[in-house]
Amino acid sequence: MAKHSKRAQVVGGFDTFKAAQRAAREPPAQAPAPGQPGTPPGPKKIASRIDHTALPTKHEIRCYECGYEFQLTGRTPTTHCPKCRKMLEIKEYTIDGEWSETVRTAGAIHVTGTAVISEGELIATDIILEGQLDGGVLKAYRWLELGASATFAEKDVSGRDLRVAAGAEVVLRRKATYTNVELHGVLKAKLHASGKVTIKSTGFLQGELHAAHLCVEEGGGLKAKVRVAKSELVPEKNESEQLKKTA
Amino acid sequence: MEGGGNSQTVISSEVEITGTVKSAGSIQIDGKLDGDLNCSGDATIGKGANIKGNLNVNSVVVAGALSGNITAKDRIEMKSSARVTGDIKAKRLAVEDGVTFIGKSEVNPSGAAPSPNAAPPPDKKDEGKPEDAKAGVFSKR
Repeated sequence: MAKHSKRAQVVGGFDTFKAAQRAAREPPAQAPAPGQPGTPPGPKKIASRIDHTALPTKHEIRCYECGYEFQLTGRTPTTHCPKCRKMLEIKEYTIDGEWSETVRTAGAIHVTGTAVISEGELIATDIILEGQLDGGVLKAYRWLELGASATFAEKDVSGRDLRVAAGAEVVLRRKATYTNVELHGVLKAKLHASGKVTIKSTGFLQGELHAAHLCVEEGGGLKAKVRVAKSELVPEKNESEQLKKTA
Repeated sequence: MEGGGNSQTVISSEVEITGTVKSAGSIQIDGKLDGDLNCSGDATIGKGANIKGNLNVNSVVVAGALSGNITAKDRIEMKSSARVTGDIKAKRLAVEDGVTFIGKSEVNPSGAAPSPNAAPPPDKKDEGKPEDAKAGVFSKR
């Protein structure tokens, strides 16, 4: 304990735990007789011995070389994959103007509204697309966010989760399969989500929806054929029989 | 029940009704109903309720099981324990996480549907190209 208090001004979580244990073992200090000078102070509160406890932020990182997912504590521009030992960049990129190079990062890429991606691959954990994708390929391992001014071909973008920004109007002709979907804008698609679909107050979904979870905020719109069930989906034959009986 | 316009009819969990229920005021159903419900006020379907029929209401809060269509003039709210099989139509909708819902939904609170011109007709130039090459996103509203 002594070596910790010498070098650190910030008390760690383990020190806190040990201090609490010690305080619980120590007998409470006896109250001094009234009127006696130099009254010793009361038992120290645990909180007064603690200045600040800081916990570093943990980030989920996915190696873009081998696909291994791991946690990283704190912020660092680069790291090494624990599995394949390759060096990974964890920078955040903002692309503005014409761009034709490949970018691979375990951080995020923001393609602004004035950007035109003519060639190359953009691979990142999270990608925000607000510009024009005219030949390149976008691959997001986590969130793919489509902005109001985004233009792209469906086959050129992919992501695990989809977010449609407020003011955006996205029409997907192919079947869209994602884990989680968050709608702040308008989405017209045949949507299959293995996780949760959230329609915010400004969101609107039109088409078809198959999801495990659905959450619609007050103000959100839904004009679709819906099948939302936690467990295995009910076969369509049973559904039509039930509706015939109630008609 | 005493009182004026704030009275609410409650069908408790031990009650089973076969037939159409009509109510000019608010109604809460915690039991079983085999038939339609026509309610000019607000309806509440309790967690233990089981309804096989259509609902025509002003607004409804569903927390139980419902097999039938819901037509609400104002609002439909589905609690996390709701299990709805049927079509719904209302001005406003709120759905909690955990709901089981199978059917069609027609809720458009702010007229936020895509504009009629959102999907442009295929260009003649694109006829030779596969469908996937066409742009999937259109300009902002």
